Amino acid sequence: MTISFSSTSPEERSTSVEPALDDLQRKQDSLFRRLELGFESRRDVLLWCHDASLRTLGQVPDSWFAELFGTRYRVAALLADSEQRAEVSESVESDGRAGVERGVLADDTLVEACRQGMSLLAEQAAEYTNSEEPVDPTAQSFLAMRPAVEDLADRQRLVLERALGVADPSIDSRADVREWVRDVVRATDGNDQGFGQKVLWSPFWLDALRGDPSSASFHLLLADDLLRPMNAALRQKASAATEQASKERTNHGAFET
Amino acid sequence: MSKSAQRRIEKKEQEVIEQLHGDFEPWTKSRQARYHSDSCNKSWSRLEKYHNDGERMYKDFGLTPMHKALAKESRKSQRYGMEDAHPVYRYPSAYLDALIHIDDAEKWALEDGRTDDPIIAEQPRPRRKVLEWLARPENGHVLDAMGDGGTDLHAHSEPGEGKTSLANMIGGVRMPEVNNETVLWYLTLDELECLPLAPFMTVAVPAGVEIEVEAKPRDHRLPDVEIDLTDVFRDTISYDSPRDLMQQIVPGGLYAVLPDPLFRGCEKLTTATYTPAREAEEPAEVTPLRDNIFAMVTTRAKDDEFLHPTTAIIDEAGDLLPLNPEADENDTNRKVKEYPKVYGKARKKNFSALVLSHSVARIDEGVREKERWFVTMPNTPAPSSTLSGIGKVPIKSDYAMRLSKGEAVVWRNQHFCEISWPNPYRRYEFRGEVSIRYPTREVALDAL
Repeated sequence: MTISFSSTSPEERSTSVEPALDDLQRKQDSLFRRLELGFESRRDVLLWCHDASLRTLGQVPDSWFAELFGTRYRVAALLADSEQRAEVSESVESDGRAGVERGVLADDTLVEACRQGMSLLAEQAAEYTNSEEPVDPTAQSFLAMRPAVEDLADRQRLVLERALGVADPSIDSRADVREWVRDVVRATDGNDQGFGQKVLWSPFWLDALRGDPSSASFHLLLADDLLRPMNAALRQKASAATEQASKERTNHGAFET
Repeated sequence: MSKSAQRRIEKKEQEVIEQLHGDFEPWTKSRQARYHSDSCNKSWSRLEKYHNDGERMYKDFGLTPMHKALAKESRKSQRYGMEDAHPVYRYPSAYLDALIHIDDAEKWALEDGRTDDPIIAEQPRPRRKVLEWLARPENGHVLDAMGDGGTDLHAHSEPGEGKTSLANMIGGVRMPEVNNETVLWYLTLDELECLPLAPFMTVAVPAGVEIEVEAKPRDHRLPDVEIDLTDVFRDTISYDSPRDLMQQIVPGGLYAVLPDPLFRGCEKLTTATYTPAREAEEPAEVTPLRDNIFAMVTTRAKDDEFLHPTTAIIDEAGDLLPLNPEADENDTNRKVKEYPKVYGKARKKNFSALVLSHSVARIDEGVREKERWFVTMPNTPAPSSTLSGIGKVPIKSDYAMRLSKGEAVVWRNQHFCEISWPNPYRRYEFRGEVSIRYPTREVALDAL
């Protein structure tokens, strides 16, 4: 005899009792799918990293971006084209090796970050029952039904795309840099961890922002100095416990051998 | 059997072999691979320009380079203060001293900041980076904690708590990366637990001994298939005594050592009794294959054929070095009681041991007294401080209950730290056993 608690399974229902969680899961699933397929360029990897930050509600470690971009063969493994990969590292030339490396990246960081993001949201998610207006989780325009998080992420995305030369207006002059920095300040809710000052005072940053947007060292700078505070800002926004969330995600977990 | 049924079986067998080839595609570009390859001219020094296996493996196994992991801890300590630093960095004697092997000459050079000294500068890159990290002034307390000679880690738990994956990742991957260590994994015939490392491993086979190897997939739809050792391992060498093996191994090489059922050279080395199955008159006289390890450690300690840092991986130490060993036909008592002395000598010559057992308490007391680092695996009670020979246990008995798979707590005297490692088994799809048998020995045993 089968004991059934409900006439329909969670997958069959068009509405959800906790739509925010279902929405987040769908968006996290797509994160993994894109990772499996690989990316056209390092720039796409960088944009995907920002997406990973958003879809885990800022739960990836703040140092993850720099660690990823600081390891050539790992970034190479994320590229879909084997010839492009071979140019960077013979370690990940074959599709099999690259696939394994992507799996490792997912296993080591993303799965846990997604779990933490889900757990954070589950603490706050509202329940919708049949007595209320039903909610279709697949028809939500805001990530995890959190408009403020989505809004912040949009601002961040624009800042990032401008730096990478894929969104207008381009950054050509010192005045453009100043204006872009002010957008960064907004996109991090003012917690830019000294990024704005660093950019305006550093000739290296000024040149990098106005130079080749496909440069590997520029991508590493963005990963380390920009994605780090953005991730922290998303975490802060997504979390109910503001004081706790504003801390950098460092802990004394186990040392990796 | 009909021809079509036969063809189906052959097709399935081929499927298994192809999967093994895909999973265990050997890494043949390293210095060690070229040296042991049949087509090589066998001059080790002429292969200097090629990288070592240790420079590649950590990438394949998804580990952050050790020098980067260490630098991260230094940075955190600088940012938040030593009080908030990770225990692994704050108390280097708890783990880093066991992992990073440096000799006195290297330590002096590092203390003087002479990182351009050839003794440092000519090391393989991952090791050089770690040594350079040690030489930085802010990491002086780590350098001070480093001892000379080999080290030992004794991991204990019931089966299934991650001892084997720890041995693979720390013994098999980190040691070659950080120390360009030579790894000797002493196999029993029970299980081939070093399988994740097989693409980088040379199997040392006892010369002239008939060996049967079979792949046994767990999937019942696939047949058991007789295979060659090189269907999973990179290459093979054969040896006719423990000393002969020491003459063939090279720095930075990984070796899966199959035991010699004839125990050639063992009696002479250990002055203890070894009786092969074919010479025994009753079953109790037959020496267990694992006893080869006593002779292997002895030759490393006494013969000075190979002095490069070497880590031995010894599984099922409770069987090899039992508490209260019997004075039986095989001189087990003598072998076990001599072991700590021999091991102590070998350790001075850069020999390290990664020992795996079910329980520290079931190991001979003399051996325990020689051991310095212990690794308590998840869901395993830490031994009591009242157990002789292990010093003060700095963790509570139930500490490891909160750990997950792929984590452990390492401790020595006052200090401890948690470590973690990625899953080494995700590198291959094959699910099942690779079984190794000595048919001639089995026939001799059956006859008794």
